[in-house]
Amino acid sequence: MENQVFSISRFGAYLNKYFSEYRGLRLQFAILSGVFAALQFIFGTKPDFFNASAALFLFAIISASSLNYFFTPRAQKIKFLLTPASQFEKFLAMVVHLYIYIPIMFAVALFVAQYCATLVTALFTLSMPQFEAPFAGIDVDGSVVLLYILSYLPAVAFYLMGATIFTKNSFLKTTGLYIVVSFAFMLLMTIAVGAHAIGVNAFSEWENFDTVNRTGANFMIVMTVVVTLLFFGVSYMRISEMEVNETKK
Amino acid sequence: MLKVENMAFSYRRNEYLLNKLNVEITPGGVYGLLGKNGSGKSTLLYLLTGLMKPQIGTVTYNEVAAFKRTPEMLRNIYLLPEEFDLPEVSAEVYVKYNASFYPHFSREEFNNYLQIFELPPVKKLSQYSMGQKKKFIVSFALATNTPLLLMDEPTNGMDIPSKSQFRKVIAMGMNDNRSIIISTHQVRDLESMIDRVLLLHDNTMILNEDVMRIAEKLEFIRTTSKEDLQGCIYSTFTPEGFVGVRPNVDGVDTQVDLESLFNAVIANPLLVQQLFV
Repeated sequence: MENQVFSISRFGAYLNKYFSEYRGLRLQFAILSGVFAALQFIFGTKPDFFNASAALFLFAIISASSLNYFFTPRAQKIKFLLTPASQFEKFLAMVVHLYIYIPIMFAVALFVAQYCATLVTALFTLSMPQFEAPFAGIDVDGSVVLLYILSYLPAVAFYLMGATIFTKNSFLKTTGLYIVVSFAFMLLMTIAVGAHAIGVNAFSEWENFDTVNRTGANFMIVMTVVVTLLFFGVSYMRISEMEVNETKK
Repeated sequence: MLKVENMAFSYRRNEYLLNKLNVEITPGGVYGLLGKNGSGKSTLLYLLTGLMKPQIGTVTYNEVAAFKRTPEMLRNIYLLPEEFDLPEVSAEVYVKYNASFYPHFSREEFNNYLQIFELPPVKKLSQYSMGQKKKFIVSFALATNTPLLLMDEPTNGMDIPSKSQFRKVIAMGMNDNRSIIISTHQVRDLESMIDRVLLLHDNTMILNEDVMRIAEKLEFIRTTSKEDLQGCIYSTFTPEGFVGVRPNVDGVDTQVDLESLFNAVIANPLLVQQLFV
């Protein structure tokens, strides 16, 4: 008998269905590419690492919130819950969407935008297009990448969890909860990295990663992974226990 | 196949919408699930398909709790809800990505059903009208060939010719290995189609009987003379004359009139239940 939790062929079929039916994926790509191209064309500046990563972060958490699309209205929820795939596979498809598809789509959108902007500029100035290397302007700062990933992982997981809990106005409600939870989390991390008094900035500690408190930083990495897994766990439980009418008492 | 044992369900604390329900769905029959608005027909369908969890009792599919919604169960059950949503894709794409989950899906049967419903081809399913969308999804549901197919008010939104087409496709899609449960409050749409009647009233299933047995126990009268209605437990006047239902003491063979049966059971639940003990 086929495994009832995970099967490669079933998951593959589910992913195909997921991406074929999920509304707005092409539109999202077009908007992203268009906005980046327009910004580069109008202002003549290429996005740097900070801007690009901030935009990706914002885009990812909005996308995570928008996964409540599967739970509202009721017809959509029924379709989601009754698709013959396991609850784990349905959850995993969302994780693939948020952690693999979106960063790739974002990078491709940046790439397309860069060359579109170059072409449009050449068209308007009646000159030969000056093509640069892909992602020119995005100078990746290695020391910040890990910190960025450590922020991206739990934040997106948190908004995914929010989408499974708050099926209406998911983004706003999750953001409210996020402010409260992140304040508590930062407080905890500040203490964990060896701050001697409340108010010491954990980010400044991170800059002195090698010298000041490697143990504290490692603890932060572990905590981030644990927290991400916790948010994943809650999201998965919510999907598994989800009912079509959740008003019963 | 599907078993409901001593099940109770409520939306409000201590106020059961469904109580002490025992039903067994076995392969090879069309079940008509009847009940007034708000009697819990849709809720029962959700409970049967594992979309909701009963507070008391169990709903099992092949001895596994329906609420677990295992892929094995989901590929053997298809629920056509009253409200549904079709994605903005072509029929071809829809079938390509959805049919693969149902091992017995038949493309040939699907095309036949679409032909019977006279559905024109469209670029995207969203271009169909509500009634046409319903025909499309009914065709798909039947073509999945799942052993259990549940339909919630499938004829809502269908015009008069479509209702006879619907009866035709149900007859074509039915076989001995399959059960179809059709929930409706439009009992006329099910006439001459169902094998078993499930009737929900007063928070419980007050009738769960084979149509043949109903015809054995009850006599359905259509007459122009009021005197013929003697002994009826339910009667009413219609533009065509009088209709009535009475215990079939003489063993008369009459065709079950679902609307009269429904009204008779609602009007005299205890009396009818006693007849079927």
